[in-house]
Amino acid sequence: MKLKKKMILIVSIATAASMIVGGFVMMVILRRSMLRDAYSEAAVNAVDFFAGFERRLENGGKERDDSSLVLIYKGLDNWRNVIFKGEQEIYNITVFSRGEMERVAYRSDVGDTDSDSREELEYEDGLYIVNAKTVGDYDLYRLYDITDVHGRIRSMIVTYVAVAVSMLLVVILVAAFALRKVLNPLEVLTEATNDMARGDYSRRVEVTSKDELGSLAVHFNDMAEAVEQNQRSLRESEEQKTLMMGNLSHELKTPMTAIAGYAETLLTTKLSEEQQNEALYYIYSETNRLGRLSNKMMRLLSLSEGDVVEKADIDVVELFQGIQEAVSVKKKEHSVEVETSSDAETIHTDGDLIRDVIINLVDNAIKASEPGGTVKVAWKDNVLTVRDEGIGIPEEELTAITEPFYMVDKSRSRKEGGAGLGLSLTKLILEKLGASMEIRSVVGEGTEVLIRGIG
Amino acid sequence: MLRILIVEDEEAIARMIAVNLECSGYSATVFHDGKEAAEALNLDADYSLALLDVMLPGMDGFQLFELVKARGIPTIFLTAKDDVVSKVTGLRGGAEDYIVKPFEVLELMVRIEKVLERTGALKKSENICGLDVDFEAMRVTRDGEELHLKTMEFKLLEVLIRNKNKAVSREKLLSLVWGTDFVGETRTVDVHIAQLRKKLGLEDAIKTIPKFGYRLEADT
Repeated sequence: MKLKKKMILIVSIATAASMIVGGFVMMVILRRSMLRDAYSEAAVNAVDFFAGFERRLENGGKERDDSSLVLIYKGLDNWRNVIFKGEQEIYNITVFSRGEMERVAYRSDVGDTDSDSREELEYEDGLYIVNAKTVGDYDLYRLYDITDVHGRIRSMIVTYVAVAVSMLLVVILVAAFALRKVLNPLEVLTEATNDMARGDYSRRVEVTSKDELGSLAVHFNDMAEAVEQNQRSLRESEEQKTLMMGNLSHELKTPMTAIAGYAETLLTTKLSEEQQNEALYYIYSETNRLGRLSNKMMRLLSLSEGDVVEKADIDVVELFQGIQEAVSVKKKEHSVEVETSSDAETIHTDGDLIRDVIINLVDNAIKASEPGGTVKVAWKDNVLTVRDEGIGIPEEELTAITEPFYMVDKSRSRKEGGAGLGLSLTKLILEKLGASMEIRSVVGEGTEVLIRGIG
Repeated sequence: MLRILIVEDEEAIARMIAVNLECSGYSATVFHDGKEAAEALNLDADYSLALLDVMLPGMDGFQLFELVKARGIPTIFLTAKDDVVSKVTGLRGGAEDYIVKPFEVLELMVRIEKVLERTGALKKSENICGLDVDFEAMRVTRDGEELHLKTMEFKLLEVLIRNKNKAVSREKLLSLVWGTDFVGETRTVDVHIAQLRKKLGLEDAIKTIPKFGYRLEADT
């Protein structure tokens, strides 16, 4: 995974950088202090030689003779002692010349303080520093071997680098492990996202922590839920549309069969005048039925396409009067009365849409009523009620009746010119208005439709 | 006269079928409700054929079909559903045929005839326009005197008689008499019609329907 590699890289670079910087500083400090120790030891070591020489010189005697000095110091100490008298080399068994030694020599007696940047002489893998002092006519040099110190410094650096590298490895391992632990939810999320992209909208992830990743997982699940729900409702509405189209074409077939069949019969069959008139009547009435069906379908379509809802204060008396006029023919046909009542003067709603709703419901109520019955329309406590004392709707059909083309009693509805679209229209309109519809019905006693939330 | 049972809730369609059947010399009985039809079957089941709609109030077509089948009446389903499932259900159940709405009336008539022919209910002879037509022996006689017709002329006559009072287009006649594979001209039909008219003296009875076809008119 890229992010993991990136983070491991960042962690290792940071660790390595701090180890290099820290190690460098530490090494410089350690090296300096080790060298200082060595220098001071060298100084002490040299002082013994210088002081002894001085004493010998002061004591005088035959020992002052140069050759005896050579013998003494040759025997007394090893080759590290070098003695010059003026330009004359009295004792020097080193490979270094006087000039070389003088260049690097440290003279504590003249206040040579710059001990940190002392130069060293090199001979066959050995490193030497030189302390010098002038005693009387003599120039004394004392070599001190610091090869060992340098070796120690080197091995210290090697050890440090080894430790640092292994620590870096440990850091990388720990980081990788920790990152895997931390980033694992991300990988799970990635997989889940891929699954969703491939169409598995039921995919959810387990929430394992309370950190940012945990909350990401929670949000992912929320999103997945929303997507799934959206998808489902889309599919449902798609299915509903397909079902509606299927129903529509089915609904079209009946009048089409009749119209085409009568036309064919008129064209081909020797009919009596009465039979001819009958055929023409059926063609006419079936054509009307197609027209009604098409009108309702158009309305349904324009509603679902999104007609704009325009709310205003609607005069209730006027509204109810309009409805009485609209259903007056139907009323007479069925010998049914329509009574209206209201406890308010106005309703704040879309007048055209609510008119459609009420006409539809009243129309249904009239059709369901027996001759002599009464349909009551009431606006009370912000609830619109349309009630009839008609045949009622069986309980098991109550949920289905708002589906397009659904008819409780097909032959009865057809006779009334219905196509089963009225209540689905009503439902759509009410959805637009943000209102809800409740249907209560008892078979044989009547039906009551309550509409809430119109205003 | 052959009696045919029609159970179809759409009044317009039921009447249309009934009128056409009556014009072709059948007797049609119509019911709009499955249950009513079932009850009526208990009293009178003397039908040569039943035409059943699948979607019926009261009792659906398939249920009603069981009762019809039990009485030995062959059935043709009328269905608005052209889905395979209901076709299979209908045919596996033993229906003779099915026809999907919207259908051509003549198509329905032909299918009815085919079923009646299969079940042997179709009339084997007919007395029409003073002619005795024996469909089995393929012989036409007038007052006992045989009138000789060629095979195709006889078949054409048979189609016209079976669809009497109903105009049949030239194309339909061509396919019904000569068969769908026959590559011929509608002129062939005209020539044979002329022969029939001349040989059988049917100049008035076989009416020409302009731009369409021919119709044999006879009292039923």
